[in-house]
Amino acid sequence: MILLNLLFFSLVSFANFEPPDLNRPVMDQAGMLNPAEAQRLNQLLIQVHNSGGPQFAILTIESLNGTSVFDASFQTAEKWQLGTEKQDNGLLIFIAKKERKIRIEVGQGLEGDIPDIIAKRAIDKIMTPYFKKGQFSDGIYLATIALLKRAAPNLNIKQRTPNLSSSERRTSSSSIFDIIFLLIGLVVFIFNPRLFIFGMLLGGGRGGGFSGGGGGFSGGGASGGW
Amino acid sequence: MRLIFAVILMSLYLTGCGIQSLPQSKNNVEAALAEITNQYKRRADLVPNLVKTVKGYASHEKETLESVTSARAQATSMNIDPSKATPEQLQKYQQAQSGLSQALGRLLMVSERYPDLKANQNFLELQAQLEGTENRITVARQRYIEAIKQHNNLITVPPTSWTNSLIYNFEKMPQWDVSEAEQETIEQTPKVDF
Repeated sequence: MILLNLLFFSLVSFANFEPPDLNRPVMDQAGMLNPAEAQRLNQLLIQVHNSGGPQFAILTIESLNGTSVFDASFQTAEKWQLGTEKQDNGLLIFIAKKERKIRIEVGQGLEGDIPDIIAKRAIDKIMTPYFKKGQFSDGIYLATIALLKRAAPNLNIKQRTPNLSSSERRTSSSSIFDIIFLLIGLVVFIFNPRLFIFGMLLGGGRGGGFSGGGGGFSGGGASGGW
Repeated sequence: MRLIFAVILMSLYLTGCGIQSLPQSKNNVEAALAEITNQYKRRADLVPNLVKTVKGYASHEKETLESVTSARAQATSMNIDPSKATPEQLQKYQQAQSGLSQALGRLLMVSERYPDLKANQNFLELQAQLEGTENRITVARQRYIEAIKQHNNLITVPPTSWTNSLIYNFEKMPQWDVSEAEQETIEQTPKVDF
């Protein structure tokens, strides 16, 4: 499965820019976030979305490969269709590591709560200062919370103080699941190899628990960099 | 019994042949055009504030400021009715808007020379809004082009083209193209160093 994933990502990266498939809110392809922070943000954003709130996602990529940051982030937003079809309440935070570019793509339904200026401020006043110090996790976390508070004021999102201690261990639920699946797979393989192959095919679709709901984007948001 | 079958077959034939999709696609084209005019209007609404802010810091850039104001007046003097717009009207409208784009581009380029202006909060916010609006215009135009393409496909590709010539007689729509002057400004877009 890991091999398949590797193959998939290498296929994705050769084109100019091709948005990856969405399967969790924090798609940290450039590895800019602390894993514990990514996990916590994943949980928070899934929770907000499941309780009827807006659908946020974060994508970090290694390089834009010559595409403009607006084109790349808009393509991603259109592909992922964050937010519901009725409310269009999606938001994408897009970060290109090599080019040091940031873009926040705001769904049509959120343009009233998060006008371009607010998105611009989230970039210039929150993300950029932290990013300049190399504190990507904190910048992303604080900007996400600030935008969430605007987009879902009634959800009472509590902000934690940033600067996490590095001793925090990664307790990823997905890694536990992977071990369980591996064990089940091993047992099944011993008893019935044919069923094992079937199970592998099924397993390929696992992790698709987070996907867009048909939300529309029209180019609202802001760009910046660090 | 046979009649019911015939009716079902007939309706299936008709729904697949553009009796619905032809007028629908025409409506889509009109809606997409309305969105473009909506975003251009939004841009025009930002201009007076922008001009006022720049004037406070760069009052002797009179020529540039005046050209923006007059380009805005020209752009807002034209109104497009999406359901009745003729290709000529559209072209004129497009020219007026690209005139404003050029004037705004010059104004922003001139603004680069005034550090105090560039640090002004009001100016920064207007710039952010302007950028957002330009992005929305880009998206609206892409969607309009796509809507026209779909509409023209229905009109020219059988079997929907037969339905069209039998019932609706819609004409193929001219594609929205980037004007020559605009093409030049795109190529000459100044590089801004941050």
